[in-house]
Amino acid sequence: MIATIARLTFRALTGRRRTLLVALLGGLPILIAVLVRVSGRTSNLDAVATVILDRLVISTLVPLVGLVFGTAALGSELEDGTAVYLLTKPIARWRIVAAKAAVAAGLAIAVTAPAAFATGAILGSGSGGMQAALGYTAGAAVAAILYVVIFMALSLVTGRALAIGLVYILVWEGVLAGLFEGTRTFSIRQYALGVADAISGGDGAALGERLAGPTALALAVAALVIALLIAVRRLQGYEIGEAD
Amino acid sequence: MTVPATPTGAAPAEPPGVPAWPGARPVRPLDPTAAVELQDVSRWYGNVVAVNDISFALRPGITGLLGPNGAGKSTLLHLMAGLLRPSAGRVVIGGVPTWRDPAIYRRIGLVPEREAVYPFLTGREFAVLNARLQGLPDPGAAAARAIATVELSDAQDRPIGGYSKGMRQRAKIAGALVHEPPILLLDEPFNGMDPRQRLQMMQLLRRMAAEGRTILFSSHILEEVERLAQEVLVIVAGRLAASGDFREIRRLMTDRPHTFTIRSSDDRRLAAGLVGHPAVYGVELTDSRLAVRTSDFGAFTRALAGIARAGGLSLLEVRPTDEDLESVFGYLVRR
Repeated sequence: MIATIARLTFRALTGRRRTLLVALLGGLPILIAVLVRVSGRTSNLDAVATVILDRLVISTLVPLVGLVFGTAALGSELEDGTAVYLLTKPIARWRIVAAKAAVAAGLAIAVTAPAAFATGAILGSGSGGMQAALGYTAGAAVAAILYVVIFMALSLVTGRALAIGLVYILVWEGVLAGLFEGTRTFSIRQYALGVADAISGGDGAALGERLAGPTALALAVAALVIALLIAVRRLQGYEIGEAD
Repeated sequence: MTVPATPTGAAPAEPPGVPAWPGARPVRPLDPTAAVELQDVSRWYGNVVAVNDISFALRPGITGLLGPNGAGKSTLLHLMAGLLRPSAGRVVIGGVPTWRDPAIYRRIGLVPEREAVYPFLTGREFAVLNARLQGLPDPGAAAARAIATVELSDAQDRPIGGYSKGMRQRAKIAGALVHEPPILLLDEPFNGMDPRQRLQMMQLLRRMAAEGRTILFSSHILEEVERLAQEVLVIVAGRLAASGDFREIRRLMTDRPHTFTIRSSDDRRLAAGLVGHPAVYGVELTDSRLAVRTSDFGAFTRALAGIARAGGLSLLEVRPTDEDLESVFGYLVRR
């Protein structure tokens, strides 16, 4: 049952033009990394890599990809009315949520994780560079899963999930969550950076600027569980009315 | 309304309903013979009442849900299909409330009015998808049966996105039939079908009804309901205006008072001739027209030409003024 819904979701998500554009977006940080390399710059490459991985991959690419896949996984079917064919079947709602979340998160990881790894690997030097690439790849994967599930839950709460999600990314994740220490515990970006630091051995956590790895991971898991529960609960009580 | 169809509101004489599947929450059915039962069901959105205190029971056979656009037909079907929560009352299938119980979909096939079907799937893939989601043991065979039933075999390997409206409608019906449900709910199923497809679909629904299934279809077209349904529910402005045997309701519709607007070569003389006819019970003469009220549509229309001819008058215009469906439904509500 879950496999059937997963296959349907995969075809629905990969068949959209928006998905193609998002996939192309995944190539942007790699392109920039290649340009930096061919420009001949050799000094302070690790710092450049950190800026590109943090600002472009974790803070921009991952949330946007998560937003597109997360809101489309169920939201587009609810919007165009095809969800009725899923919801009028003897299927527990958690199975629908699980299948759709798994596929959307998988696609989001498929776009963002290679971008993070390739960018880190191109710009990094030595084993430290590879370690950073792996750290940011893991951070991107964690953030991709969270963004997808949270935005999927949001699409079950409001029909304007895309717009609200965009505001959330720009205002909360982009500005507020970096300004105040207390807000970090409610920021997916901070969870991703905490995980990345823990794996790559970065010093962000030691400086007190970022969450410690285990804390970040625990908060990420808690956020994931809460978002999944909200999504299942909303779908269980989801009403499909039709004006005649 | 004078044609009550079901004995709703009566005290239950039977034991509580037996749950139709494990884990179901049984409730006491008012009518144990009913396949689907609505008990004092209302649904409102804020201050807008979409369905107002409706009770009825559906039994095997074809029932037409007739009403003008915006009457609440789709809302009622969605309530029955467990896709909307009743604001008051309850919808019961097999003794179990439909809201928030996905298990009812083993017993229901729903054909929604909205055209949207996954455009990237072929007709066959869509039917197989429905069969898999129903958990059928042989989805391929079940899908093939459903496709053949709706006569979509020739187009089954083409993407639904390229289907005509009628083909899409048949694909939706195939999806709803794939698990051979005992209850079939169809929202405006004949929309977009050409006359031949319409005829085939009517034959299919009759065949399924003969197998003992309970079929409810909505329509705003009287003739569709007339050709297919034995029982009819008339819904107007969210209220059940009439329910019961179609012929009885049709008789009420036909025998209701009719008003004609007539222009002739001499309206005053024509009025004098008409006023003596037993089918005419009101004549109003104004400067430009003659309004005639009759209680017998057929007798009046047959007599009118003869009265005009006998008086040497020419009829310039004869126009029924209240023949739209809304007027007919409005009359039923007022009764």
